[in-house]
Amino acid sequence: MFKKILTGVLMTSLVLSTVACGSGGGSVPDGSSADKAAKTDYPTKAITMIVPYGAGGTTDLVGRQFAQALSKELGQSIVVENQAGASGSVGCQATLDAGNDGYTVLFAAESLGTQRVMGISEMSYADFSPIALVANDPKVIVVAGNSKYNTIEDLLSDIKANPGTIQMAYTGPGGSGHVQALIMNKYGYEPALTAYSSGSDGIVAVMGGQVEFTNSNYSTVKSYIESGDLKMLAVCATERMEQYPDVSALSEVMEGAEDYLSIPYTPLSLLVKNDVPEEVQEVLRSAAEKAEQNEDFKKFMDDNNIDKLYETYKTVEDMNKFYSAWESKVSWMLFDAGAATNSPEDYGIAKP
Amino acid sequence: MSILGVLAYCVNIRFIILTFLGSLAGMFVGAIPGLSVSMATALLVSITYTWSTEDAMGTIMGVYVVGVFSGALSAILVNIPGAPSSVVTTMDGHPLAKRGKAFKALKYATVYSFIGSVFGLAALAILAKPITALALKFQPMDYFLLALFGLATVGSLTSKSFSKGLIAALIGIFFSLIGLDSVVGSPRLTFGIQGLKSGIATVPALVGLFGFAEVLCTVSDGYAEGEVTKLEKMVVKTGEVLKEFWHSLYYCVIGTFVGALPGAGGPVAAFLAYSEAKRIVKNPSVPFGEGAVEGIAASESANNACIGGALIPMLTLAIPGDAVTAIIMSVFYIHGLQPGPNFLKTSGEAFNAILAGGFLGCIFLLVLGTLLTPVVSKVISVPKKILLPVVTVLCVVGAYACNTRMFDVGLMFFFGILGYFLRTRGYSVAPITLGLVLGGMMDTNFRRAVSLASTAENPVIALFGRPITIVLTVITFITIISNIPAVKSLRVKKVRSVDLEPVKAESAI
Amino acid sequence: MDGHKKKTLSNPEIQDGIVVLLLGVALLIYSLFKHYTARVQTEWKMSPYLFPVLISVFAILLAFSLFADGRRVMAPEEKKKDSGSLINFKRVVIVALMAVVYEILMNVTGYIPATVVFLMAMIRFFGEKRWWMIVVIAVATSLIIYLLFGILLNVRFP
Repeated sequence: MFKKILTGVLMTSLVLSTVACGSGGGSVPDGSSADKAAKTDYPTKAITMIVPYGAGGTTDLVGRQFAQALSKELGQSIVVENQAGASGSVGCQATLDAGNDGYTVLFAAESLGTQRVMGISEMSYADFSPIALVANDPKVIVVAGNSKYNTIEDLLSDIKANPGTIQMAYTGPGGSGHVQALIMNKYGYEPALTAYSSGSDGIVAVMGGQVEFTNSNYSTVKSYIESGDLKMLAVCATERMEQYPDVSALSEVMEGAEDYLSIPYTPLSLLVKNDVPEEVQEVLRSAAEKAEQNEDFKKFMDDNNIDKLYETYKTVEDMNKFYSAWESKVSWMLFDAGAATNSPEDYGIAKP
Repeated sequence: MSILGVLAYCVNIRFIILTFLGSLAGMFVGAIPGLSVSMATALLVSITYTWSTEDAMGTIMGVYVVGVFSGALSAILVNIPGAPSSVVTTMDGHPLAKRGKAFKALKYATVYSFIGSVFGLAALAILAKPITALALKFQPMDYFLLALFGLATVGSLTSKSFSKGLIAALIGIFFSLIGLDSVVGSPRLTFGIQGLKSGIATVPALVGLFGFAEVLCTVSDGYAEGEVTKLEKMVVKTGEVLKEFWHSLYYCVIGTFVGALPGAGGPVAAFLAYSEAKRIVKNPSVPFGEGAVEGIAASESANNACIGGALIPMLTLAIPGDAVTAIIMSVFYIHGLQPGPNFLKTSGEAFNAILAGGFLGCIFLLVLGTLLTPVVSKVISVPKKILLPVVTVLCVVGAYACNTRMFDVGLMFFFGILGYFLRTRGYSVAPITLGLVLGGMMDTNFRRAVSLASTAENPVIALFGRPITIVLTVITFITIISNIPAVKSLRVKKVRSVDLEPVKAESAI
Repeated sequence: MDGHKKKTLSNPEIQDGIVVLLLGVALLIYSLFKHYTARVQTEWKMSPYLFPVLISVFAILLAFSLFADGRRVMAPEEKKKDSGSLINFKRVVIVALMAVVYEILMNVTGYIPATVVFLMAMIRFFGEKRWWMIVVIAVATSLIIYLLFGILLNVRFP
């Protein structure tokens, strides 16, 4: 009998242990008061940059390059931390949980704009203040090197002839690949979708003949196109790429889609939480502006054909305008296609 | 790759010193429960990004090679594997250490880790292209079946009863389901708890199931106060150790190939090699599971051969084979290198540096292993009353450090207490770890396979119709059926003389 | 005490089997419920609950396999646990509770004080009598771990 009671106690402590840390694991405000006094001499120690995706992805790559350039301007090292998981919401949450002192910054991709409607988290761009809107990695449509499709017209006409059977690899609902598949649906093309956990997994699926095609970030597939393992059929944009004048832009073959294809699909930006003092944000912003002009960084961007969004969106107002326009366009598209859990209306996101 | 290019690094003093420092660091992080090699490499990424690519590669390869090995140290000495791939080493290593033969166990671990690492790296140097081509042939259904096969094997290896082994694996898979679903992104089994959204992290679970549960089990076994395991003074001849050499080559092949399949990695390789060892080694020194050195040889050569294997898809397909290679890949990108089909052609220098760093790491592994094992094996003679509290604190800190979340500490305790209950009822915790590690991969690949097959004209043929799939399905079925008690007793009647089953439930980890 | 039924229920295999069966059924119901009540309807082939359903079916099968095991080894093995086991079990509970208190304490007082107190309590509990020894080990271990993790590995402690 006594043993049963003891078992009960042990079980309770088992539950308690999880609950205790659930409540205690929240935000621990560290040193926020100390920093009020030291507003001008920020930064005095290393800064942590959280990348909410795994190492090696486009967000990680650009983030690390930018961190390098930024740390030169700030005179402090920047430690990049990958906190992947849950469509980027883990890393974003970690940034919100960190102190208000500006020593934790976030290098986020687009998922902040769709997390609420996709029912992943309650966070959005509004919870953060933009420091810099850095880059957009263009999306391209690729097939295997030995594929029977040689042009985007071949592929699209086959999809049209066999709706729901031509397999396409994408990175899961709400991601940029999904958004593009929805655009294709809108114009009467219906590929069969199979989800892969990362862009590179999708590429392997294309090369291994599991699926017919995928749309991928250009920087990820660049070397495969050069080696002939993959064929690039189209650029998901309104303009062709400089390096590949023979490859069509998707808007040329899907008439009327210009409006949707002109959106940057993976806008990458440097953010801090809203509570970070304005002075600190200004220090970061002016350093970011200089870092954008860093020769090594520019060369990296050019080599990988990444759009330099910072050239277009310079002020905080511009960036915020960009985020709300992006959020509204993509959220409504997901919702109208029946892919979103929550209505954008619930969050006051206006129709585009 | 050119042999001269590799050799050039091996005589470069600066490169050697950096690799050595990396190896020392690897020894340290690998051996401390809760500190993982991936954590150390992640840290190195931020330290080395201003260095030259070659220097960074040397250091990181040192950490990687020696770190994977030194996971065996804590596995053998305190029954806490430093990483999932060392889980198998606990099965024979710890019983051996308990009998005072820690030194012997460590010697085997050192030698076979060395052999495994060298073999894997050699395969990387020579066979990268054909192995890539083979790995590309593996489709989602094959990955699913491979994981299922791995779990069935583990279930049959670790418990007295097959159903208990499978149930343990199932518990692991169950925990892997928690969190945001990797495909659709909707929360699954989180019951509204924010901390569960990112899923159950492997390190806290591992540390809890092995480390904290071990503390609780020792307490409940009613150890005598001040009890000390005596360390037996012994000389282990290298010639004797090398008896398993020819078998180990077979384990190395398993290790390299499984390592090259993204997502499967070290733990699967070690388990498969171990089950093969059980099959091919007819007369082990003592029965498997009670301290058979043959088991240590199998697990250590296979998990270290995985290093070379895991680097193959990372270099040729930009798909990392495991967590560590994922981080190494980001180092590449930082240094402007593009892993992918052209890598071996265009970045020969970096490839040479990787191989040189790897081979030097192997040498340091052997040196450090030989020099340090007599010292670290003394850990086992630390009185329990001091060892247990310190191990508990290490468990807490390790669980916390991997993601700096207090929530993970709670998870660690949860798994510790769960592990304690399961162990007292004759369940082994090793399959839980493996289930947890493989669950996510099984889930996504199964759904992918179904999704891909659903558009085919004949879904069943699309699912099972290819040669690799047929082979995997057949061997999985054979493993399961041959372990069903009724079938098993039939077979045992036939071969009465050989009884390989572990006698006591406790000896199953 | 009377009859077959009591004996069946005290059989550990059968007990475990019941737990596994309940878990399996619960997971099955949970998955089916979640799948059909999800706000966004997905097809089964893409559903996050496809795999859990498969797992729950396995669990139910394994529960029956455990029942079968239980019936086969009905002849109960003699209990290994003697009278000492209750005291030991009490110790397990105390250690587990101490660890949980340690965790809560760490949130309140920070890492170092919590660890020192915890180590002292636990070493004392395990039977070390010399106080100076307890203090030295507790302080030294906490500091060494703090230095290794906090300074060398850049871990931010609470």
